[in-house]
Amino acid sequence: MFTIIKHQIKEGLKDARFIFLALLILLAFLINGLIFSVQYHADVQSWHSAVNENTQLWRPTASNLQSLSNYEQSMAKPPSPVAFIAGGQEDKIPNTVTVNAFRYLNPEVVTRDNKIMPVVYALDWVFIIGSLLTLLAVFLSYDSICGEKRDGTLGLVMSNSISRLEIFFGKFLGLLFVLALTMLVGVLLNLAVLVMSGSWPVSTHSGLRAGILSAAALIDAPFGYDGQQPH
Amino acid sequence: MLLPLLSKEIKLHLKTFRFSAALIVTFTLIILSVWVLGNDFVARSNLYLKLSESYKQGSESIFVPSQIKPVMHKPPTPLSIFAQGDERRLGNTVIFSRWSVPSEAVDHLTNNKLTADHISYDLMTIFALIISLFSLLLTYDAISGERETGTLKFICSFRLSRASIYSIKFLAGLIVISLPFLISFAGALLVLSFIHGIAFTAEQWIAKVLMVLSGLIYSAVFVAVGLLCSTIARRSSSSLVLALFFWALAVLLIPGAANGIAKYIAPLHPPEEIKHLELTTEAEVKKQLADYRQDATPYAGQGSWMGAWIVDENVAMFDTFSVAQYLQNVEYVRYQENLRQVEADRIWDAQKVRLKSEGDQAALADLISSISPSNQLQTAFTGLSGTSYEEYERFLDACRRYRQTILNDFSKRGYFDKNTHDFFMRMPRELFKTEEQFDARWHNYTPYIDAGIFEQAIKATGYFDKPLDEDFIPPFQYRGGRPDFNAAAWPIGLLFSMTVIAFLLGFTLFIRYDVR
Repeated sequence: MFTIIKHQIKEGLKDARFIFLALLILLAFLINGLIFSVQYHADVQSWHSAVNENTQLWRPTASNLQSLSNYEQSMAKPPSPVAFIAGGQEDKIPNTVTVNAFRYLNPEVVTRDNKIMPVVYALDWVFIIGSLLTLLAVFLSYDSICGEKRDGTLGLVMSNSISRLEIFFGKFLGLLFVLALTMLVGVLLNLAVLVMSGSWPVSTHSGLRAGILSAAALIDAPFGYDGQQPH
Repeated sequence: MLLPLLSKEIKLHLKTFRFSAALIVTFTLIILSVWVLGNDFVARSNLYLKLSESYKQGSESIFVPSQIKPVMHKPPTPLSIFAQGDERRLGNTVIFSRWSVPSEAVDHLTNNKLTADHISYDLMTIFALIISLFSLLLTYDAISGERETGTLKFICSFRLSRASIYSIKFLAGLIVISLPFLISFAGALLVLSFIHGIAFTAEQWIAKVLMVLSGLIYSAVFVAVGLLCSTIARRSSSSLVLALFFWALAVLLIPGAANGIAKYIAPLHPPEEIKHLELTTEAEVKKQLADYRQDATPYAGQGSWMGAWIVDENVAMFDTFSVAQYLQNVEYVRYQENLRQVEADRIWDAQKVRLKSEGDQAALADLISSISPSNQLQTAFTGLSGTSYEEYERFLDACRRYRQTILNDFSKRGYFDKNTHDFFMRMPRELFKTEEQFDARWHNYTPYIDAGIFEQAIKATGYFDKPLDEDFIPPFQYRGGRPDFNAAAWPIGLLFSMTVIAFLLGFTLFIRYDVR
């Protein structure tokens, strides 16, 4: 069985289809990293300035508890450090609310996004894995049995003392390994760009979440909206 | 010889599983999307009519010009059923305000804010994603598949030039892929006219014909690319991979990546700057007003009943205790109106900078993704249906012009200058000349106020029987999104040249093609 897996991996890596699409996927991961590092930097800056502005504005009222409780603060939601994995609705749903001690007023979108830009698929991990990696998986596997039958090698493989289950399972594991390798390289490339850019917080927390989400991606678990507080 | 070969090609295509799949999928999707979006359109137009009607009813209780606050709605266009574009994504309602220039519209005609941003499956999306894929699937093995089965050698031995063989294959692919679409589109029009009862104007019919045309040219691009793939790769399985690779690149990857790259290259003007300016301006204005009240009009803003406070934008009327206080209030209203309107223009100037940076970024993204045919299709469809961002801009421009018209009208009547009294007060100015007249006003309605019946008191004054005339202010001129034929010309031309390039490229390859 290991021979079959090894053979499948070798064949897969040499395939022109694989090289084409794997390069495309790596490029997409790279672009994602570059874009997000710039955007996250700008988002964090604007969040900090919003928080500072708010603090400066409420501080003068703090001498009097009544005026402080009546003062309408505007609270800003921090940008998610893992939005490059699943952008979700982060840019669209309200990220600023006005509150005082008694009321919760107009949530509003002090948008960090460009409203004019037409809606297309965001280039996050959800898209890269959900569309491009899936396409690669189909391209690699669609003729792994019938292609061998056409070339006549299937009969040769069958004539060995290997059960059909082992052949099928070996092919499956080999292809999965090829896909996992592509994704791993892409993810590492992406994270390397983010870490080198210096704007992304390298913490065990965000690292762990990125790790869990990439592990989930391998078993094709759907991504949910991920927009919790950082740190 | 040409015609029999063409009909043979078409017949062969019609018998394949791919064609039936394309027919069923296209028909189901188009009919479903048109049915769902037609319902949505009917709901939105009903809501639009209801809101306009309720505004008209509300205008019956407007007695003084300071109460005038028209609500401007952008009526939904029926062509948005085929291309939603920005119509549901961006807002559609602007509320008049003397103290701010509208920079964006709020959303009043959409039911769910969270789904408004999703990609909606309208005719345009079905074209961009599904029909393009079927066009490629139809032709990816036209040459390589025939070479594999050996029939290509046979066809090429006819007394036919390779040019005509290639053109026939292209034409056959285009005719066959247009069939499912034309059938489903006809069905969709029937659904719209019989189930939803939507009538289109002549201009909208022309726009629909042009939409069909641009859709067909769009599928022609993919038919030509499919043929190109089938001449490049020798084996049909390889040409399939090549075709799907092109599809993923052109339809899925480039538009998304172009947005991202544009964000990377041309970052936006920070939104916090405008927020900061708004907050500081508001604080500044409040301070100036407080200073003014301290220095010039210590009593202004006091003594209000049955109307709004003087500090509010909606100064309906207010009553005062003495002639002196009345005069101070008039001065105060005049001062505040002039101050606020200058500040509104200042904030709008800052917002223009932000909007310009957004526009530049979007233009860059559009430029980068213009190599993608689906981007051109989107531009053509949204332009033709009048749901593009440009249309939204036109609506906002109309709103701003309308606001300016009303304000100009007001200043021509001297409301912000010498006739401020008429701006917020219904009672004649003569009553406020002497203290005796001033006190005499009270006798009519003090009994009602003492009894706590304010409506009766207001009626008893005798000044609130008749609302302002309906034609006191000019009507809002914007009449909904109209097809923009100029916006569609360039993308249609570009799609056409893409088809020609892909066709010629495949053709030159086919001339030197080894048929064995």
